[in-house]
Amino acid sequence: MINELGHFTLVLAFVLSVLAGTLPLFALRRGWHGLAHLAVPATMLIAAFVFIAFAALISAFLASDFSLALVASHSHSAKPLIYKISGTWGNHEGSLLLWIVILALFGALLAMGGRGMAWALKIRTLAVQALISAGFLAFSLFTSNPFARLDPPPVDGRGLNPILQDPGLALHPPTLYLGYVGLSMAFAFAVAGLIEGRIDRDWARHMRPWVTAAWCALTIGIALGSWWAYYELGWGGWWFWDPVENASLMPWLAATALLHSTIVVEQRGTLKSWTVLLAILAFSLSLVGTFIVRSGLLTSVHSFASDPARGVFILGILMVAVGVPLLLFAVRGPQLVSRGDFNIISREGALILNNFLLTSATVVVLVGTFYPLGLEMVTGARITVGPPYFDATFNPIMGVLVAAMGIGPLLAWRRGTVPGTRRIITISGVITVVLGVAIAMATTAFASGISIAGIAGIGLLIWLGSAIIADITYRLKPAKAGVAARAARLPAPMIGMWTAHFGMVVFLAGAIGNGLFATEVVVRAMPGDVIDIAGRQMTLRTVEARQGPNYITETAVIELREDGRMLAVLTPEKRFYTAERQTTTEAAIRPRISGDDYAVLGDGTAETGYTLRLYRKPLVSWIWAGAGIMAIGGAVAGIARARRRPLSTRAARPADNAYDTGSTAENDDDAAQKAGV
Amino acid sequence: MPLSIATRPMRRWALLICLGLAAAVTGAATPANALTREEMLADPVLEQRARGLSQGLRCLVCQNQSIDDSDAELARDLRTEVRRRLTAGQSDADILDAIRDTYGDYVLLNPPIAPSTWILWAAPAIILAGGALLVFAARRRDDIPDKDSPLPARETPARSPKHVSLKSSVAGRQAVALFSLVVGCSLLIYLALGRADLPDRPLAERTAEIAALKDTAQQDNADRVARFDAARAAVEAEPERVSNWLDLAVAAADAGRSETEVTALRQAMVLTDDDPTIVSMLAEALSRAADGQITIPARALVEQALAANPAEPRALFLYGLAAYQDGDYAAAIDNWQQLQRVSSADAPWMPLLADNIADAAAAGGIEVPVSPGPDAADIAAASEMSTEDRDAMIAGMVDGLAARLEDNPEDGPGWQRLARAYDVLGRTEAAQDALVSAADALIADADAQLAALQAIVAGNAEDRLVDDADRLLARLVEMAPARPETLYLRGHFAATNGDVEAARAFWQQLLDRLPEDAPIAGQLRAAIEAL
Amino acid sequence: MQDRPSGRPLRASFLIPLVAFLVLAGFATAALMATLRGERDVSQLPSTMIGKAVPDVVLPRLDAEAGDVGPAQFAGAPLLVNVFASWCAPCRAEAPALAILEEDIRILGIAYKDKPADTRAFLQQYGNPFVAIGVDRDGAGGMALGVYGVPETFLLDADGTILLRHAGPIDRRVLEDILLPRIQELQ
Repeated sequence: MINELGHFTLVLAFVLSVLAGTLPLFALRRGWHGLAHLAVPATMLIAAFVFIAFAALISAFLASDFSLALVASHSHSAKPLIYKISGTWGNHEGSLLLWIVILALFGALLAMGGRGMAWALKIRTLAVQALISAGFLAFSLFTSNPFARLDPPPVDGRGLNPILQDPGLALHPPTLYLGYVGLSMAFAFAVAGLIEGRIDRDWARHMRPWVTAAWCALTIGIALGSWWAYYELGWGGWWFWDPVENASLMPWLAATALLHSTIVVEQRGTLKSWTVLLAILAFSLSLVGTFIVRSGLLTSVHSFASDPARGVFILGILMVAVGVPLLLFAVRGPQLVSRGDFNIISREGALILNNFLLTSATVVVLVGTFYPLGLEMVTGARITVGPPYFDATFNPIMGVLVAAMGIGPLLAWRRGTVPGTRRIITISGVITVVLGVAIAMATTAFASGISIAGIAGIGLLIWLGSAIIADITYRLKPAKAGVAARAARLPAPMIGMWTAHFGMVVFLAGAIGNGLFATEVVVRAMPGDVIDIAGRQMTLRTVEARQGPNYITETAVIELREDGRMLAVLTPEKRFYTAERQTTTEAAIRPRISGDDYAVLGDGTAETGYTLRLYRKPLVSWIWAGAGIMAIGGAVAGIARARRRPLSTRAARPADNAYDTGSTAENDDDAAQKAGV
Repeated sequence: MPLSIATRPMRRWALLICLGLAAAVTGAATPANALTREEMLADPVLEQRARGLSQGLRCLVCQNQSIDDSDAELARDLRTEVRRRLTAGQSDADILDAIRDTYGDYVLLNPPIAPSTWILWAAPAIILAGGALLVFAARRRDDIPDKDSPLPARETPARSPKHVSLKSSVAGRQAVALFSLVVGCSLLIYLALGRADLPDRPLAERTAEIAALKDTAQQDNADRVARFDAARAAVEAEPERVSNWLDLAVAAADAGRSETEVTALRQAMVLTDDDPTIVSMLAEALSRAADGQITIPARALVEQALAANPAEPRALFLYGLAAYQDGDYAAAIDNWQQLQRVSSADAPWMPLLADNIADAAAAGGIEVPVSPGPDAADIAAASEMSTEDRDAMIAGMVDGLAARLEDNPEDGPGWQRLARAYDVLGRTEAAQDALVSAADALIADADAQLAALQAIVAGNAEDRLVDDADRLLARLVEMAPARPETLYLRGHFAATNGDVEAARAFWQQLLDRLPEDAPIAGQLRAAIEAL
Repeated sequence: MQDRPSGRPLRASFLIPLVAFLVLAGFATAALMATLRGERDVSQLPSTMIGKAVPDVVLPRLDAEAGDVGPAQFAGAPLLVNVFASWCAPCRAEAPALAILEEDIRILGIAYKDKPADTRAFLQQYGNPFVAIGVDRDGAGGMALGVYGVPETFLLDADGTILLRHAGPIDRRVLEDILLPRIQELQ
């Protein structure tokens, strides 16, 4: 009865979240504090129930219990164990349940933790979180029930889509959902703050770990998806500006902006209403993304088997979950005004510029993604907004952002330049111009026609890199103590920031290196043929049939040599999955720091030869390495923040010297607020 | 009836079931590769331009792929077209324009600047300018220092007060009430959604069951093959036996070999001289091969079968199904109810038929008269009613056919069908007339002439149709002077006209060509005697 | 750093996100409703050929040595051009609809990327409602017409102007709500 137990606990979780989402809010209004406190144990119970349901579903996948319709249509008895497990969320219903599990898990974490947090804020946040859970549980139970049964059960399942049978994709959805759902915590904080009518530095301090965690998870999730597309789809691209990709990029951009604006609220108590709005928008954009993926409204490659009826349900959730908070914001937002006594050339100013650019970029992506739909609704015309549009609009905005990234960290809070800043900017500016011109000349010399955008990209890359190095040296230089001692005293958030920004440099290096210097060769080769690519030789030895666990494969054996020295044997495959009756292309990749050798086997026969697509992709893995470094940087900063002492107990330090200082002259009212902490 | 209502197949580009982020693969997972060497141009400069152009063109049938990346057939065609135009010396702009002219703006990944995209292209500038304006306005506003005001008035404790705990404030009774509320609601919802009656069925516990199922399936399959082989052997041994062909058709249908089934039924049809049952079996076979669609040839066969036997159940069913597929639900129901009436109450297709009628009624929004229950009196009443209805229906059908043939008298087979229908209805004269019309329509067909003449002879209508008989006989003599039937008929009509000598001569000639022991030889001799 | 409890009027700028969201949600709702009503199908692309003269497509006839055939030969009366193939399953589904249309209008068939022998077998099985059939082995004719999948059907007036294009099989709704009214209009 495991299946039915899971089903029942899912129902319990739904009923409980309806209760936990409404009763505490009502009780707080009435002043029934005891009843309001119900939100805490209820949230933990919801998590327990949802967890049991998810475990039941996984056990059904593991046991190949085809009496569950979901297992029958997405699993197969001959599937490897890991894909039986990942098959649980490799489909609409299961992934929705995973989403709910993470949502409940985060709720429970806040219910158990949240030490030092204002009690009423915590209760309200938990209640909002429970309301989100209720919406998604209703969606799951009434339109996409993972526990629907089949009687009698079929002899075997229909299998999992082969391109999803991949380790990268087993991990991609959970991380991405961690990110989306983490943003739901920020959203719940924002809505709770609006209901309460109070947003303060404490609010920001408690929200920030969730934003950081969500941002790190989103970064990794998106990178995993992009990496998967790169090696699995077999044409070497890593970003396609597909609506579904945009759906994950928009929350990331908004979360990045939120991450930075939360710093301002926490440090300076300003930008409050803006931060609240961003917190609402970041999660709303995640919901919009879910909507796109599951409604089949936009033509995307990766829609789930789309069902407009489901779309109606998500649209309903979206209307309530986004419309109501935005209305609340419109009414309450103007009350959240804070004093902005800072110079435009200041850390605040730079962070506002950061937010302005990131938000503009988000809106540009939003417009580009939804414009075809809007146009179709208004005029009936169908157009495509493809990569060229985003290259022309999104990239320049991000270019300016990267330029600003170089300057922002050098500026002090509140007021203008410090003596050192100008010098640092000058130095890194000169380095950039000199190196940029040199590299531009060098590249134009042997690779004909590198575009202005390419040269600008290289310039930005060097600019940001040198700015970070200049910043670090500046912080370490005026050493009464030794450099090492000074380094040891550097605040962790500052190290986190440098790391994350350095991740951006690495990412840019990868994107630019692959974008400008990649080589591609398409040939029809007979066994024995030698193909030259970017100074290396690839020899097609043979193409042979092989047998995998649940597929048969045609494997090409290609020797990769440089100057006669054997580097590797590449074995690209064409697989035929017997249960699913589908063919996939498995690229063979030799990843190295300097770049990847990438081979794809096309169709062909021994008589006519085989089509081979061969690539040399310089620095391409830096793209994902950069994303990883960014996430590490975020984690370093986030952990450091979470372990910090409460604001009021710390002494003020000179504002221009520390990135991390919470101190300002106006700390007195903070102290008043924290009196009860 | 093995056919059920077929849902209309829809063209739907199968969307891949994928997750979250990533890129594209076309629904039809063809093993073909994106760009192949064969398509590429020898001139590297042109090829470079071709790649560039291809990367800017969207594959229309895929989701979001350029034609350069797509495996789809259409993408390949477009790549070839781009290269063809490049080789012809066209400029990049010309090529994009030409393809845009044919396929529309949708094909361009880079949206062209046009009135419909002004907003799109202006959007970044509007966003940046508007955003800057908002930032500026907000800063100006916030530059004014706030007058300090007290914290919001909402009275909420900053922390969980020590005395606040679940125990103290949610009293025992309240807790019980809440608990029962949650469990009660959950039970209600679960009972509506869940299947508590179904046990878990992990695969490990089903090995025996699955082995048995697989065994049965294998055995069934082996049996099917064996039956098919046996039926084919029987047909080869005795090709003239109709039942052999029918067995083969059944075995072939079982084995999923629709081509053999159709061939076998055609053969059986020829052998039985278009027996309506076999005709409608053929119609069904053709329809089954067409995914349940009653195709045009199948419709003709159904009509033919019904003309020959208006109560032929299979044909009635298919006729109803055809009407259903046309969306004529009323006609579909009529036909199926007709079938209900002519069928015995325990006919195997009755339940399916009732389902289909209900379906058609639902689809057409038609109220169906309550079908008769199993009561004996009802059945009797129904069968009584059926005779009347059947006659009416046959008459209607025949009249329709006749009217159509009046308009289109060249339709020889139509006349023949009409003749058979009249024959069934016992309207012999009308049948003879129809056969004469058929013979006139099929001037070059000796068999048609013969059939009409034989009908005239069989119906003693020599006097009534004397001119027609002369005309037909003349044609027959011209086309097939040596056929035994011709000789016989010439003798017969000579005798009717009183030309005894001539009659005797023809029959004698016929008699000479017949083997001594032919059964009709005796009759013929008697006839000659009688002259 | 202060929060103000109340008293601030609604500010227009704080309404921007809500308004933007409502616009977006409006489009999404409209699109979703149209999809649910069956009026919107993302796989249907509007044709650029509407209102233009039919391209000069000339194809060899299916019936052996009888020369070439193209829409131009049928000028003077309305014409339906149906692009089909024996390998295309939906083409079977629309055979009865074509049989009904055959009574009202002449239909020119274009056998798209199909072997003539297969086309003949297909016609034998599903009926031949066409006045003539052009063989488009390499799909060039289809490309000239902007065909992106089979079946596709074009309605031409007497002057050879394309009035309508339907992509996908002609089902009952398309037949009765779209094609037949337009054809009757023409006659």
